[in-house]
Amino acid sequence: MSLDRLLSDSRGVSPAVTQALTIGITSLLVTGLLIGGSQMVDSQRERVTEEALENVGDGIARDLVRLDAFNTESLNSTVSFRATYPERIADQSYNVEVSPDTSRTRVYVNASGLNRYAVVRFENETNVCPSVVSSGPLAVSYNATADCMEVTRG
Amino acid sequence: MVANERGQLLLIGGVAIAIVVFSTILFAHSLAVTDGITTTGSADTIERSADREASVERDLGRLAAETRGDDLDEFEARYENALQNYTETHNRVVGGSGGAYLNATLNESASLGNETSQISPGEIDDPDGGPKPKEWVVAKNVTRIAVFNFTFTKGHDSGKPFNITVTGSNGNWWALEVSLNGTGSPKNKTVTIRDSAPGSDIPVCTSPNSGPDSQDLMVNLITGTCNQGSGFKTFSDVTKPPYTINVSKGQKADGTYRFAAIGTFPSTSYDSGDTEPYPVIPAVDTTYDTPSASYNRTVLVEVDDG
Repeated sequence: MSLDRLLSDSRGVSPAVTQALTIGITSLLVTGLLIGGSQMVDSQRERVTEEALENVGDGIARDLVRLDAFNTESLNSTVSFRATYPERIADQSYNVEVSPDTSRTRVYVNASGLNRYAVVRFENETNVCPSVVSSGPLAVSYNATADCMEVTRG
Repeated sequence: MVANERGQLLLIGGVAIAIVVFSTILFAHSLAVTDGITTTGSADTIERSADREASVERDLGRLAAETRGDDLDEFEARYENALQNYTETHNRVVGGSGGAYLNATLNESASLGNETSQISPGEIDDPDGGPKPKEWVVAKNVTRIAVFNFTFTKGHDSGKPFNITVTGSNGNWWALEVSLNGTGSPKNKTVTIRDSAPGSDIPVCTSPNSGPDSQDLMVNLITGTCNQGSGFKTFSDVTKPPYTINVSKGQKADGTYRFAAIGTFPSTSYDSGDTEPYPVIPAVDTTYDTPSASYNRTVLVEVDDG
């Protein structure tokens, strides 16, 4: 059989083969799109999570700084100011930990399910009591008994 | 030919399905990650509370100044009454519109300042009634004086006259003397002011020491005024706080006095009960009930004389 005859011979080429090839190519395309899309979604989730955690940390730090400037020395009673923070970030709960430090107070917002966290530090005059609360509505408080600021569940 | 057209149809359909699935995933994900990331911090609420308090404290200071006025007696009772009226008005106006309610009461024990006085006319006597010469330290480390009044009914010897000296932290001093002068009878009792500047003696008011024309000399050492003369340079014009205030030769003048200040009233000059609290800086217990928080604090009110 010569080469010219082989190339010109159309016998055995059925519509089934054509369809199989088309489905295969389509599957490859869809799989590529899904893989690329999932990677994009993951990076977007990480970015949004980090931004949201920083947002929460900034908000709590800002509230504590304002409370620190609220002339807590002359307060005779405990005072709390409630704030609304999200229950979940990227569909995951998170914890807020406020801890005093020798130089600056640290607000640590941790979404362990996403392996992401944010840390905000600020200077303060009023003492800070160590406190850990889970996500959701929070309250920044001045505890007159302990003479310190703290974060509590709102 | 038919087979080729079917293949194109499947290809285009597959791509379309992939795009739809992909878009759905992105959309659902964006809903999940952006849901509820907005925060409503309490910083603004705290700011509003602080502003509200600042406004109330300004009012309390002005209220104290107006209540004190020129009438120094019963200031505590009058201020307490004024606070009650202010609270009612505040709650009617502000509470009705913003839901912020206030209760303010005078806290006498937390107020700053003490008072010493001689109410009955007679020789200017030291508070603990020690022997003559009547010389004593009225107060030390005086940072603020609310009342500093003398009323002289009679002067005595002019050789070593009654003298009250205010010495400032800058080393300058200021003194008030009550002496007798004149050649006729009766002589005149005269209040003279002098300070650390040489040749600064200035008679500021005078009146016959006795007889029908005699007038009491009522001197306000804070404002620098005397009822029988013109205004004069007072201690705050030449010295700086904290002050030390001394009296010498108290027995050389008759009259009354009243002094209220923030400072040290030394135990060498005063026995227990010789001084009593006077709210030079009143302390006011304030309680705030707002929609966002309830709390109370004790405020030291800066009396706004301006």
